[in-house]
Amino acid sequence: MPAFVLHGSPTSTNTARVRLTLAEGNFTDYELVFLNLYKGEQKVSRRSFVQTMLLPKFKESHMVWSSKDSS
Amino acid sequence: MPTVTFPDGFTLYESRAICKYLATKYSIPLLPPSSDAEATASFDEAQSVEMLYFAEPVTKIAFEKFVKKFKGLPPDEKVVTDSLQALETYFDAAENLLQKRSYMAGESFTLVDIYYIPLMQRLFAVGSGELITSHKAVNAWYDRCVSRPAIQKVLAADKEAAAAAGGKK
Repeated sequence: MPAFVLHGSPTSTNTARVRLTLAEGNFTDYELVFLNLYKGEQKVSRRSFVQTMLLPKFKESHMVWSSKDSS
Repeated sequence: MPTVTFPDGFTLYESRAICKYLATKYSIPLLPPSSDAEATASFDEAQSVEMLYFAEPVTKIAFEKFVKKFKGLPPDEKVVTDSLQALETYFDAAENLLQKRSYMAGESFTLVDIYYIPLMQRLFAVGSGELITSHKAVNAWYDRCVSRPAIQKVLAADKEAAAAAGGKK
């Protein structure tokens, strides 16, 4: 199993930054998954990002806010 | 994009944060030693300069001349002109800096130099490479960066992939 998965796009300058960094370290133990922007694959990725990253953080902050509000 | 996802579920987005994390985690020698407060401060300063005074106008130009082209839209020439002007001012300042030091954050090649490379390439791609080549010290610094074997390897692979993709169309 690779150390991690890097999702990006072949035309993305942001993805290139990460690949250049890994190349400088001669680090190859990772899986590179290119998403096709023209097929809208990044939208699936974005949805997944909202579900896995933002929603839990929002719920957490909302809970804190709610508990403060009720005290 | 991009994002990195680890088997334990740890996920990170934002390219600069990813680069910094990976360099730290895998001991890639692209960061100043954390014990060196001055070198770390110079690194942070150079990173802020890159984001605010370089990446922002280049991204605007790339959007107007690159992304809009694919969408079949005309570029907003005022945005392009203003951004080119901002970059000219920026490169004049960078020229002064690079006459005194070898790399953006000091005498060593760091992540900050890597941050520049893809957008410098984009500047050449949209026909604004003269902004770089007309500044002697900036041009020499860029040559030092892209002459590094690891960097050359990635750029050559990307060029090959782009040519193959172009051939398929």
